[in-house]
Amino acid sequence: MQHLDEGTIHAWLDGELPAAERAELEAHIASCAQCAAAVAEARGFVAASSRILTALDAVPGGVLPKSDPLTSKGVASRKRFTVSRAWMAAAAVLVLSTVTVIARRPGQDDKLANIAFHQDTQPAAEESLQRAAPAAGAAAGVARKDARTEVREKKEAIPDASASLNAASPAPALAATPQSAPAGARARRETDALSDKPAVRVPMPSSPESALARRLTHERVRDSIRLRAPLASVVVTGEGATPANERLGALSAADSSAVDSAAPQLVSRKASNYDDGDTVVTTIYKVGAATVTLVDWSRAPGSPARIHIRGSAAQPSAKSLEPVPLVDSITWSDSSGHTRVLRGAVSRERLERIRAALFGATP
Amino acid sequence: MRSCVRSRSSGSRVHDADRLFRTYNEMLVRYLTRRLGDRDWAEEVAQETFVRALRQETMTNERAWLFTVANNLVRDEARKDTRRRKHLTMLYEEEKERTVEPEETAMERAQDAAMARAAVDALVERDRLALLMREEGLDYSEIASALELSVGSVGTTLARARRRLVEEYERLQLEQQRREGNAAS
Repeated sequence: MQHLDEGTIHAWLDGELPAAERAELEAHIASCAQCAAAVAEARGFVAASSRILTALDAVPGGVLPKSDPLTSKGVASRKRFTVSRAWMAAAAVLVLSTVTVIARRPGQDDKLANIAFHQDTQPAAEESLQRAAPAAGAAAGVARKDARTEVREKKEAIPDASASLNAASPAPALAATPQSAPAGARARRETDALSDKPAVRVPMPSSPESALARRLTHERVRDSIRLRAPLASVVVTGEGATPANERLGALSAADSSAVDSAAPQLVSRKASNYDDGDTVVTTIYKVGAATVTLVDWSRAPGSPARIHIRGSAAQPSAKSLEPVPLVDSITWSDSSGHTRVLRGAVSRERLERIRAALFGATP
Repeated sequence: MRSCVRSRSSGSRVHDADRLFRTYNEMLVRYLTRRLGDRDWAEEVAQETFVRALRQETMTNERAWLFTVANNLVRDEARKDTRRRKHLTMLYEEEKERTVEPEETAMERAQDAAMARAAVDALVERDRLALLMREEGLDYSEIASALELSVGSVGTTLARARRRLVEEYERLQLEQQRREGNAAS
């Protein structure tokens, strides 16, 4: 069997490979270190991409104003959604008991949030909200937001998200039935529950201006991040690729017994050069049964140096067929102008030992 | 239009609509929020999707149908995007002086979200949608049908999407660290 392609590995990790193919793949992984490393890397990507996407859940609403104070066109553009609001009103009747029970406390929270953000503009903002929507629509809309806030609060209190969803509906007949709760969504919730930095669920401010202010700050931060494409990328694979000046060989051979039971073995290396002189080298090492990825970013000469060590939150893999170790990473910079990230499905302590094996004493 | 909705609310479809809404609203709104970067907009599109579902006689696969319709609605809405941006720019100019600087933690969170947004936006459309749908638990055949792909190419699409997303995010993170380092010295 030839080496596995990345798509097949991801299909396998997603549980989407037919049984026959799956057995063949599992047999191959057991006997091929390179493919086992590729699987470990793919697991890391699955877990990390899930974690990155949860950061997108903490965005503000109300970026687009409920009524347009500057042009009449804005009002016209919202018109098509008045049907939705009417439909929501109809739906709200069905969940009326839920709404009446939980509509009170979040309302106070919203008010506090508004006072904190824009004390002087709040009454005007609420008034415009009322004006913008038909009466029934407005009632349904507000109730909907409150209900959402309540469900979120319960989620934070109770890790089991589906249980808290039911808890939020007092009427048994109306309890949500997650009859086909998707594996992905479930895994995502587990990710949230286990993360030490959970996705932030703030109540939506009802003032368009405060939301806008936050959004615009958000946009500015985003604009400040410059996107670049690498000028060139070089991929090197195999043991012979270790450069002579790398400390890996000598150091790990001498100290491996002291720092870690197995010396890191080079699996593959990829280097990308950027137009401002920066270089990013991604290297995969095999250490015993585990695989770690080292991202080495070196800045152009002359930039100021900084020493910084930071550990990232341990994250479970989002979707997998078997228990998967947590993917962890450490990041550090040194005076030689390199910033490095070491990532792998091993403990933080082990990552530190591997780092010591590769680079010597703590900077 | 409204009377049409009202007359249906007395029929047997209401139960079905209620079930559809309860089963899929959360995942659809999360998917759309991640895609659009605005929760209110996401909720409007989700609601409109459910309204369309009410009019639909039969669905062979509810989840794939809902995501496909939501994708189409976003595409239609995107045509209005230029006008929306212009409007936001005007508001931005007005609000610039009054913008409240958030606390440091809020700033870090905003940076995280902004980096995630930039990394997601760096993906090509098909890769991005496949990844976001997979995160909501859609299986390969559902993703294939919503994006008009072959089932066999979904694994490759997701592999590419995940790798690019993570690599781009890590690169942005390193760049951010460098910027902070430069600012500190």
